[in-house]
Amino acid sequence: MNVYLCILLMSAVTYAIRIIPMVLLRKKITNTFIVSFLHYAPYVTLSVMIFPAILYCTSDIRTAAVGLAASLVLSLCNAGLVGTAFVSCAAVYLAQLIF
Amino acid sequence: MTYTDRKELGKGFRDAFPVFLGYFAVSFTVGINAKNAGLTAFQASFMSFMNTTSAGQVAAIEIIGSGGSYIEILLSQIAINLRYLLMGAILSVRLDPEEKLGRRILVSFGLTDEIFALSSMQKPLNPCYPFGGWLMAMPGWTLGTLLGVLVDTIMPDSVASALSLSLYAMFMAIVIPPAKQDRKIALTIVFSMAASAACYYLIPGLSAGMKVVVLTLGISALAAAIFPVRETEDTEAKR
Repeated sequence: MNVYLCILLMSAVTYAIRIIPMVLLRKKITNTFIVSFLHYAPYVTLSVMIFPAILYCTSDIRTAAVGLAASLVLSLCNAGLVGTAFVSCAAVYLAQLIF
Repeated sequence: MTYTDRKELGKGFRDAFPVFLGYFAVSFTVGINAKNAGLTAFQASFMSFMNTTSAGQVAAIEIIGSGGSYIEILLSQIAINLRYLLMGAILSVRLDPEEKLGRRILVSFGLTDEIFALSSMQKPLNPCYPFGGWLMAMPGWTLGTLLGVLVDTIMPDSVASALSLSLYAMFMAIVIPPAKQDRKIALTIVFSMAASAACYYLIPGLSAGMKVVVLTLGISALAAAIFPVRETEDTEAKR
């Protein structure tokens, strides 16, 4: 696979998706199934990407589990994207010193 | 460009400063991932400049690293970035219907989770606002990716290992808060994670890209059939 072709393909697809609603949609979507499908899709995609991959992203599954727990607690407390990301990484770093 | 346009562009640019910081940190991990998958610093930053989509890039990098196919890239980008269609639809109907196409497309640049979150607070929406946000956020995303590839070599392994969790933590911060207010979303998330783990352990031959595509199409359709949402409810849940 050519990396540049991949990047251009990604960009074409991603910007097509971003531009289509601007061109076609000047009224609201009414089909309940389509609205519902698009409503749940991001949650499904992100959840599938998070788990179980998060357990294998650090050098030790135990420190990754600490990071997962930290990110869960922080996002439940609405710590925001940056806060959750930074503090979870710090938790992994500290756990690495212990394990 | 009218006076209002300039004002809105500047407002979007300033409002997106926290996004710049967050993107800088998170895209650092994207850079590390890209380097591990064999991409050069230029390729990785070019990808960030041309896409500005975290989950989509992580999936694509994984597919490139594992020697996948163009069709996997195509399908994964459609599946992962499908959410921009809904976000785009929500913002598009909020623009002045008289707005010309060239100006409507300015909103497309601002279709990332974070800039959408900012733009969805604007009523009515001037297309220069999300574009201003993109002008602030995109350099953070691209520069962070570049440094992620370059600095990785002089970064201690323990720091790199800890930082690689940041992207997943950010995804958690995107999906968990809406789940607190909506049990249907919470159920969908738990079910998706369980299904993903089942695929991971039971079907090792299924690539990460295809897994995202198949599970997203299947589970979203299932959720839409069991828990249909009305538009108004939906706009609200999108924060």
